Amino acid sequence: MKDETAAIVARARAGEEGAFGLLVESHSRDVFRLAYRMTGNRENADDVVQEAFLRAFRSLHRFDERSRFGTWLHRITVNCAMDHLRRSNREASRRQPQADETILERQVSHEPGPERLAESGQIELQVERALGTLSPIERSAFVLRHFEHQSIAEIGHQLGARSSATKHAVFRAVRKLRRELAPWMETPDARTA
Amino acid sequence: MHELRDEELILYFYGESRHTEEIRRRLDASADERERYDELCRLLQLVETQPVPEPHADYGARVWRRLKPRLDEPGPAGRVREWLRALLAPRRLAAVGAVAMLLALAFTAGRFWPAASGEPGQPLPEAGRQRILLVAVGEHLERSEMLLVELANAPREGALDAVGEPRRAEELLSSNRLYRRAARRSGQGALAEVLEELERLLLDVAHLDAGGGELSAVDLDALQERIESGGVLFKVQVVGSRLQRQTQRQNQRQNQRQNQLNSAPPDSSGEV
Repeated sequence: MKDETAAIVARARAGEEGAFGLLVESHSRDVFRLAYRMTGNRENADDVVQEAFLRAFRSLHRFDERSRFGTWLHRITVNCAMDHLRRSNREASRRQPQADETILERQVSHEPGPERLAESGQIELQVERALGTLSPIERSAFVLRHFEHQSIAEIGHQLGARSSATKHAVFRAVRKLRRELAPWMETPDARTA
Repeated sequence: MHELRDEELILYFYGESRHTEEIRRRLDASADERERYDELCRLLQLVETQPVPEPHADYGARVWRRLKPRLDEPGPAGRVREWLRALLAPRRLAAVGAVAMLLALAFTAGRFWPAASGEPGQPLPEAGRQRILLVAVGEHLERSEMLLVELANAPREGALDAVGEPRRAEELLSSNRLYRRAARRSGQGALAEVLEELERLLLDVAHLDAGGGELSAVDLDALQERIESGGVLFKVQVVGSRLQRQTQRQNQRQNQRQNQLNSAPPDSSGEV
């Protein structure tokens, strides 16, 4: 399987568009799952998938054939997702009304819409909202550690950060999640009391 | 013996602690610490419940259909090449050359032309000093804003120059200190506070670890978070535009006074 993928990558590097299409078709689902974890919604995940493959196509000449294509693509996807999260955060900040110049503190709203409230469980929504409060680097470090089971050292390497900085990004993420989800960890009786 | 810190428990949960055995013993021995660890486990298991929708069976084919027509689009590097090609077109090049020539002439003329007004050595009146301070601080805020905007919008893969940005911040830092003191002395407390906040941020940028010549994603992320969450950029923009308006109003008033003086009859001042 590994040799087969390597052969397809070599054909794609040689300029065979169809070979790249095969890579897209075989890796799309994995890329989507990671992108969804990182961005928290289907539409954004689809955008990240497109962007990741486009970037991969343009950088194919830089791909080291001794590496695994899946690992390389995973890294590109994380970078694309982080860029996407950054852009979304900035756009959300800009959309905030600035009528009163004294309101200098702006906050990004992550409240789900009524449709989402109806179609999903409350806990899942709260988790999604809590994950939405993380900064791009915190979310990336947490998702890679918690869901992708990568070690701190691997995540640091992937994000271009030192291990200590990566650890602290995970710590900050867990602290924020605890703060956001504390009411949902109590028993239902305690919550309604 | 210190209480187990959250950080130690998190690393233990993920199997990354270097003191696994010791932490296990401590958790077995202390009900309080066990309770804290269980609470952390409950939190992280709660996050685990977050589902990921399973993509459709033909998802890969759909992605490829959307992607295929985009493969010929120029990437960022291609766009820069196109822009350069357009800029270096013969007609465009002539226009750029003409503008450069005009700028050079204006600069040379400015160096040799005598000053239009003001006696040498005569101290400026207070209003004049204030106006100069406003203009200088306005320009300083504009330059700082440009730096902050560049940092705030720097993409992760943009290979931000870790040498150039700290150097620019260092230059801005020294003038910022002067303006902050001047603002404080002239009783402009609000302006001084914004400059103080800007100074702290500039200091951080100036001291960024250059490492391999590029800022790490984490450094950049932390910096962008500070710029955005503290609202420093917004404050700089607000104060900058206020100063600009103030300077424009002062210039207009001065022009009106000058026009009145110019249009007044020679003897209206009562002097001969």
